[in-house]
Amino acid sequence: MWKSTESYNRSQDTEPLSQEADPSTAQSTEAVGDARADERGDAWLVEQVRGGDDQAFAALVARYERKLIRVLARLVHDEELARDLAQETFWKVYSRLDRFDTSRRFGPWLFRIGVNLCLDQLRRREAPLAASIDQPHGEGGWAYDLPDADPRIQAELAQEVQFILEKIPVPYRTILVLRDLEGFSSAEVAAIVGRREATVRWRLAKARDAFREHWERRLELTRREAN
Amino acid sequence: MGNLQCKWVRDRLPLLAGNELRGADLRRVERHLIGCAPCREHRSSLGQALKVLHLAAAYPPVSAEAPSLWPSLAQQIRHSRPPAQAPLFAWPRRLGLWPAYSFAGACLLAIAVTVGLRGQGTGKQSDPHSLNTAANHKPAPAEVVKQVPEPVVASHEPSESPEPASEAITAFTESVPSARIGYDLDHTIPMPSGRESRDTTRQPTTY
Repeated sequence: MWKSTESYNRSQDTEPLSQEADPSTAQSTEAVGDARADERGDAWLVEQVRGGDDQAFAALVARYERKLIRVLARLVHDEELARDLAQETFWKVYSRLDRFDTSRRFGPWLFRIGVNLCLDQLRRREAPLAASIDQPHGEGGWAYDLPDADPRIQAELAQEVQFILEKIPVPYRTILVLRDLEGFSSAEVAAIVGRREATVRWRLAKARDAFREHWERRLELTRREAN
Repeated sequence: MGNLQCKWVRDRLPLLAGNELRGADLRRVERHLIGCAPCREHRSSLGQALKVLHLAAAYPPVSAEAPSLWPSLAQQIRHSRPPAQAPLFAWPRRLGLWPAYSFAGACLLAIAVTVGLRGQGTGKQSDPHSLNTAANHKPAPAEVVKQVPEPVVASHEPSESPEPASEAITAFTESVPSARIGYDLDHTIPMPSGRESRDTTRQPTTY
């Protein structure tokens, strides 16, 4: 399937954890520097929590709760459920903090626990999921063609994207949400989902292609109904 | 052959659309796209889909005014900790033995009081001054009087009482050795006038 996967992997081995699309720009370098400062801050806060400082844990919660709730909400499509899962995530993190290796990054570890809780929740749901990423289903239509700056249109667009995401299998959907909706780097996504970076890139490509196919199908159905 | 090449390229077009393709794969895909219109169209539709995704990403799925999780988390953390207790009384309560602990303490106290009472009774009987005859046994106040009398002697004069050192000190005996007391409380010995010399050879009066 991937004939030059090895060469591709070798070219990416030295990729920094938070490298963006163009690492040569000053903004990317500054972003990497800020990310490393945050890592050192997280490690120090973790040590303080281990020493009994609850306010240090409050600082960690304040730093990550909004993004965590947002990620979980994109996966479960329910804000209240996402908040419950986020709270459960922080509680698990607090309980396991004595076993956390501070040489690792705290953020991916936190999101990994949260995403796993989310995936457990999705497996318990009775709603049917797509059988295969190569067999998209096109249902109904929607009168939307090009992106619009109108907030109402943007809200409807977001809702439509959520509808399409539910048709994509969970392992691929998770990577698509983390990479394209929340902006995690490929390395961070790999740390969160517990897979190799090459596997993450392969699944990401499949997920994007599946999304494109669903989107095109819905546009086609909409045009047919309009005609 | 062309189809295989197109399939190989289309497998990598999603990464190209996200600007994540590098090196030899990037050059090979770009070379193919120059001469393949269907693959160029496929790349264009992928670009549109990614634009839609990025637009949807800008729309937050949760409200910005949502309250923080910390207050409920802090409460959960507080409830998970055991209440602080005095170490001395922590272990029996923890084991649910507090009632037994209290009963044992009450029993020990009762035993201590009983031993104390018996010891006082034993101490009265062993008093050398009242051992001579049963007739010398008198009611408690008199016993106190009986055990006290000793003549005035120098402090360094040896006492003639049989075993003054072994005399048990109880509530009914004086804590000061009787040899140091200079007069008799039962008035059988006249009070000293104060003019007697300190005659070390004088023998103490015994009863």
